[in-house]
Amino acid sequence: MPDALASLVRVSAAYDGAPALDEVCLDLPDGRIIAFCGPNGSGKSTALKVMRGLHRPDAGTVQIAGRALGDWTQKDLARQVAMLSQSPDAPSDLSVGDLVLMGRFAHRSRFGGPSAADRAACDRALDITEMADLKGRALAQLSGGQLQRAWVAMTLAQDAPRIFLDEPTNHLDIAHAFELLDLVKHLSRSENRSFVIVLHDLNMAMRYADHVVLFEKGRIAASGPTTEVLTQQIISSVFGIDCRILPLDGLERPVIVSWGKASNTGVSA
Amino acid sequence: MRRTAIALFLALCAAAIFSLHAGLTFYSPHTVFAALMGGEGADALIVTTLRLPRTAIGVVCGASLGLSGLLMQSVTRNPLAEPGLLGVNAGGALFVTFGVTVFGVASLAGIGIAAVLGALAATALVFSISASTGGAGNPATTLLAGFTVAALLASFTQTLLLIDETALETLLFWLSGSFSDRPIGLLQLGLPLLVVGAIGSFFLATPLDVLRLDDASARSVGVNVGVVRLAALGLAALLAAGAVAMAGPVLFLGLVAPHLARRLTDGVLPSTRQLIVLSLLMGALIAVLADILARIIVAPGEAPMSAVLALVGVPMLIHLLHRRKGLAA
Amino acid sequence: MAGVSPLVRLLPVMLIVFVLTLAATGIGSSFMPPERVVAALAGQGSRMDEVIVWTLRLPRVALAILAGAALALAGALLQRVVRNPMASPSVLGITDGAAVGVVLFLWLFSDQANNLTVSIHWQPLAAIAGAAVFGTLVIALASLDRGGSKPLKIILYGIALAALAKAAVTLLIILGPVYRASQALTWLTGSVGAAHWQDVLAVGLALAAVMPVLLLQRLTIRQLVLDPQSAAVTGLSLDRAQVCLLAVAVFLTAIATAHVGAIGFVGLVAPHVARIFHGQFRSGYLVSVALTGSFLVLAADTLARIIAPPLELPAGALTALVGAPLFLYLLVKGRQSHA
Repeated sequence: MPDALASLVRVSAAYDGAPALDEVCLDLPDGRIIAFCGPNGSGKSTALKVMRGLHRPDAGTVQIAGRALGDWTQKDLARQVAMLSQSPDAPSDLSVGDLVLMGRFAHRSRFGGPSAADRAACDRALDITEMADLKGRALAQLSGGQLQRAWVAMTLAQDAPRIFLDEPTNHLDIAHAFELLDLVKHLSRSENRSFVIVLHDLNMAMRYADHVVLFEKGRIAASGPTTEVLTQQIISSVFGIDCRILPLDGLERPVIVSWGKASNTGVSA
Repeated sequence: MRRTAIALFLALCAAAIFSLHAGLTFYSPHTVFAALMGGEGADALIVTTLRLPRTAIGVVCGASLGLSGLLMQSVTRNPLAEPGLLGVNAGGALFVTFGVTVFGVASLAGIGIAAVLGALAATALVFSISASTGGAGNPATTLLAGFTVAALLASFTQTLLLIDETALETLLFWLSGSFSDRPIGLLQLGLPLLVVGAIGSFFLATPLDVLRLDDASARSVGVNVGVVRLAALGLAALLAAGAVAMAGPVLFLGLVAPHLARRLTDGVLPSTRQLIVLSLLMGALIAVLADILARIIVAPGEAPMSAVLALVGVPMLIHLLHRRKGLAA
Repeated sequence: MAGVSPLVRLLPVMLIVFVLTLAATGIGSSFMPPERVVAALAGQGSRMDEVIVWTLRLPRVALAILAGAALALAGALLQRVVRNPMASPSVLGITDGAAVGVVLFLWLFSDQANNLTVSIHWQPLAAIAGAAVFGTLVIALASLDRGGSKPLKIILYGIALAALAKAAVTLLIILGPVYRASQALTWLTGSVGAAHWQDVLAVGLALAAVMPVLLLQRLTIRQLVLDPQSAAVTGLSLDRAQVCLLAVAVFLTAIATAHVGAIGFVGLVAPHVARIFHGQFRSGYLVSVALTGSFLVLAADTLARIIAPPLELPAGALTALVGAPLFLYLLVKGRQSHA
């Protein structure tokens, strides 16, 4: 498969001493929006970190964009795959503009200031995230939503065709969460960028993802096109909840409605 | 946890008893017992007027510094915090030096009182500076301010001593920090401070537990973060001031004791209440052990306490840091 | 202020260091007004003035400037590498490591008659060896330790090893020959009093050697302010960058310490002062840090000469006296304007 975003073969990894991935095999297509879902501690974040070379697996091989992970130099990899980690941190007196410029690290020349291309990429990232007006602000002066958007802008400025996002909607209210995922969809469709997103909210995954990987206890419970993975039966068994999948008028994708821990009686309320 | 505390307590008792026996000449238990029961003679005199006071002062000092360090570390959420960073040692040293060079203070009691005053004055200065930079809310600023004030005061002291060489000679023994040749009367100053500090810390234990969360979460469960932080730092300062008055600046102990205490228990981080007990015992134990070593390693001379503490404490710290994964602050 | 070019921001510090240089060269057992200093510097003063300026005072002033810059830069690099504002050469045990090297050197290579059995020129090497050993130990311990936050670990191990080094120095001084003790003690406080042109040359060359590395690593140094994961994702080879910059910091500290002794506080405070009045993300930050360090040591040494004449105090005793009020003032003022 030439167009694979990533492929994992029998990858095992431990996180903080506890096993987190157990002989995972996974092939991810390029050019899609892929959602990693699963209960807490099921290994989805660890899988993302392993794929980006941030966490060393104990066993198995990882290929990213057609090359083994170990064959990439840091900068080459950074130009291919950008990532926004779960709780990024930068000094509070850093300005938004400077933060976004840091996304250009892998592109910038060792000498002189930022090139025209660097500036253009930053400006575009700031525009897309609607942070252009706040460029001069220090991070300390931003709201939670603005801060998250500043980090997204930095990730976009990296100009990588593949972007990993680890729970990007965590600090966002629902409107901003939709905004961010709309942006992801837009970038995926108009610029053919690939996204791998760790998402907690199954409805968000249902609405935005082309492909869903469902993790369960360090293994993969299901992987495939969204509507084939997010079925009543699979969700019930992986999360242990009662749910139903309902089509809504005017919406392309159905919504998932759940009302409690799994019981065998069906609707109990 | 209870077993750990009892084991530590027994170790402390054993160390303290051994401390009465050990020194330039080793005494038999019989001699020591006789001396304690009011025996006469040179040996009895050495035990009751030299070894007993230094052991008692070591215990009180060590316990005070251990607890003071624990309070500082919990309140600032910085595992590097230690009493010296509140300016306690530097303030005490400056006031003592000033007292000796300018006012001709000579008695140990006078030196002790000057030390307490200096320690508290320095802490007040550190607090007011960190308050004027945005309140005690930012522990990093408190530490930086403390470090800077300490350096400033130490610089004053050093200058005074460089100019007045006789004062340097008088004060060298005090400035090097030690438990030996301290009058047991100093305990009247240090012991009450330790008791106040320990009781106060027990009252603060529950809010301090909550303060392990971030400030906002702590506030949301009803803890008045500012007040708790100020109270705990105040107690830490009192405890350290008592120690500096008794023994002079004793470095490192306040940093190491809480870390060791934290790593003694298996599994999850113990509660603050448990940590208070463990830090008190641990501090006292390290102090007594270091004091014994100080008498022995360069006998007939007396090794500086800070050097011995480092020699004992550092390998322990490194070993325990390595044994445990993660760094619970 | 945002549009002001970095050069303009640097001008005031440059000016202060320049004026202080003239003043420091003029001050001494015989005072020399600035115009005579300038004349002597230009080679147009009296013979007497030129001898005083060129052989006695200028080496001292130059050494203070260069050593201050080296220590300050080392501090700034360490604070970035470790991501902790409390990091500095002395906190990480590097200064004390250098001190162990030097005291051990004095101890091993001196005979009964208080003479060194080898050339004193080996002393910097001993300092570098000591600093490198302790620096490597700190890093090795921290990297062997898999769990927890690495920057924090580095500092904890640093503090522990610094205490161990201090203890070793104290015990070496006590156990060693008495006649070496006082010499070691003076050196440990840190002083530029005995400066020769060869000291100036050595520290100057070290700074010059480091310059290209700092220029090449300019972006890396800046990138290090991000959390390790974010930094790595943008393409930074974190481990390599950390080792490289730590090595530079150790080297600078060791060279400076070998020639002027263990001058403390500069490495901690100079980066903070520069951060507050220059900004740590503007270009020219490291230049500002270096100049601030120069200013601190030069001012401390000048003060040390005039505070209690004819006694000359070691500059190391006074760096805090100069730096602390400045830093505290900036801290209070800076935070208030922020809020």
